[in-house]
Amino acid sequence: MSILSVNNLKAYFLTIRGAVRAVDNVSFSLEKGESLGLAGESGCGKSTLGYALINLLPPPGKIMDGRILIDGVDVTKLSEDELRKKVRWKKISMIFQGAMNALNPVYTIGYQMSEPLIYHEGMSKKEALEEAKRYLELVGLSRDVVNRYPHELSGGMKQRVMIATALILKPTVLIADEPTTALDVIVQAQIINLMKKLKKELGISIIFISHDLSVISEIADRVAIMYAGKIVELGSSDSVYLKPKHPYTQALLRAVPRIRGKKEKLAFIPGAPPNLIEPPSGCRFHPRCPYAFDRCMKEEPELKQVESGHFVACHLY
Amino acid sequence: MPVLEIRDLKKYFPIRRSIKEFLTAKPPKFVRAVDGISFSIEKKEIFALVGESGCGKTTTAKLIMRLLEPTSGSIIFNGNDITKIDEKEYRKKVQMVFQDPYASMNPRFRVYDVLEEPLLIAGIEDRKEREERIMKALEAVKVSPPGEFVHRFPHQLSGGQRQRVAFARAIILNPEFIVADEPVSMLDLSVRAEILNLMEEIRDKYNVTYLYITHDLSTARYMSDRIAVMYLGKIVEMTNSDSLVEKPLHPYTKALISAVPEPDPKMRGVIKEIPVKGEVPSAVNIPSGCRFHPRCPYAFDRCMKEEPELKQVESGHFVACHLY
Repeated sequence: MSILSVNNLKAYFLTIRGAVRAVDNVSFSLEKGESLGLAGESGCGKSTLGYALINLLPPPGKIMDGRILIDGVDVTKLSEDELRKKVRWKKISMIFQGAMNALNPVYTIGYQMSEPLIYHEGMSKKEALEEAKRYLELVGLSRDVVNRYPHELSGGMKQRVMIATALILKPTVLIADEPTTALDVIVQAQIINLMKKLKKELGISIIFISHDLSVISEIADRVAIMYAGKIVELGSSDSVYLKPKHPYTQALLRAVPRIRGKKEKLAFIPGAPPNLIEPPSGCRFHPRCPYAFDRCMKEEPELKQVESGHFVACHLY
Repeated sequence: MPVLEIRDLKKYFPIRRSIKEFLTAKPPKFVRAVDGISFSIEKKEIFALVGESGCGKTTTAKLIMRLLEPTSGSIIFNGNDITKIDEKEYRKKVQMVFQDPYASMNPRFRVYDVLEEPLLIAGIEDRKEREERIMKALEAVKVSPPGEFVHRFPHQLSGGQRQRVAFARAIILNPEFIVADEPVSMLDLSVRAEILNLMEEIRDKYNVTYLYITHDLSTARYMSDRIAVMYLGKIVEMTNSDSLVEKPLHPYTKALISAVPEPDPKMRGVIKEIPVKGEVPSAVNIPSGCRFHPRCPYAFDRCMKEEPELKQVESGHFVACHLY
């Protein structure tokens, strides 16, 4: 059975101008020990989806409809208190975007890392600090980092601390929201390698959210491509990257400049992503799609299986 | 003759001393942001300056724009030292495009005002002429229709459209040289290529020369004729972009290239082995000898003591490393 399954999830931001349909009817599942890459451009709803999964949408965001089953428990039905005690951090935890600024500057790393252990596991301060040191070693930092303050650490070290903190209550699912985006390329590579190692050693499932298709292809077993609040393509990394079906995915992959191999002219997608208060009718990609025909303007395509395990939401298939 | 020539350029920023340091007459400390770099850029060339954050690439851009005074060294533009050229005249010929299209435009200006400002400063009095030039610039950056576009405010534009307006503003005075500081790093992938292709079109149409500043080696390779890699205020390697990517010599360049992932699951694991440890040290305490030696897998005795010169090892391929 899947460790996480999401059915017809809708997460909207209720603004004065209308509901921003940031996540609109999204369904997917995640198996144990699997990593799922969630790719898309800014404003496509990928971070909102991440926040919705731990039911931590900032207001005016709200889960409107749908189910999120984690280990068979529907987290949308739980009260805030139950969520805190049973789900968040114990079952599913998150590395937030801009994690480098998520640490409290006036507390030591040890203090911040042991907090969840003291509250959730009832550990003593001493035990908690010991456990924090163990997790720091796991992410490749030295044990004495517990006594340091955030400003004494470099960006890469802070990111490692965030990863260690996210793992400290042994969650089964880890959501990593753009964990390498603000980092330099060499540090980024170190962090990707660390996450791969942790996935293998701890057997955790990872949802890796990024706008960078190259980073996702390094780490993800399966990829979901999001556009304007919807998943438009979902499949194994091999099939999505090598045989992309959706015109959006195809165009995105042609837009990535590559450092190895032959230099090719880059393609781009004309236009800009739509406003999610009034998304285009029919297929949301149709105004930018080179293959759009009548039906695309009227009828919204369903996410359907076109090859084993490869799903596409497009009328061409 | 090169359009722009930089000779042994240095920029040090002083750090404030504590009272104790001041009273004990400790020597002042400096951030050595740019620490003796030299290069020259030929007409119509796209020259990329690549490096990680804090390596001094944006400081170099600001020095070229005369937004900062160099500590020492000189910048020669078309054979003249830029400190000897009248600032207004200089700015007509050298323009800049900034990284953040959301912050580089006055939110209360309409596109028309954004583009009119440089013309007013340049002293173009005729309203008709200004309007014509604004329309021409907008056509050149391919926004359509320009007639309607000029009445919009920046917040009504997408990131890609704003960056187009930023390029229109840069070319409106027909400059010879444009400094583009990370012009696509804030943009989404789907519009990034659009702006890069536009930069090339502008070069061909207006005969502009570019200094392209980026942290991203892939776009640098795609865009530029030559690449210089900076590390802690120094250029460590400089050559044409294909040989830099295909036959990198400096251990730092090699590490940078090996750390770039590919959008192809078959290439998974290309970033597996990165011999370089740790992160870039602070520009206040620069390591002795070769600045890269504490992180370099090939460092030997000499690297700790003696700073390597940037020397030519193959035709047009310069590297600052004791291995060569």
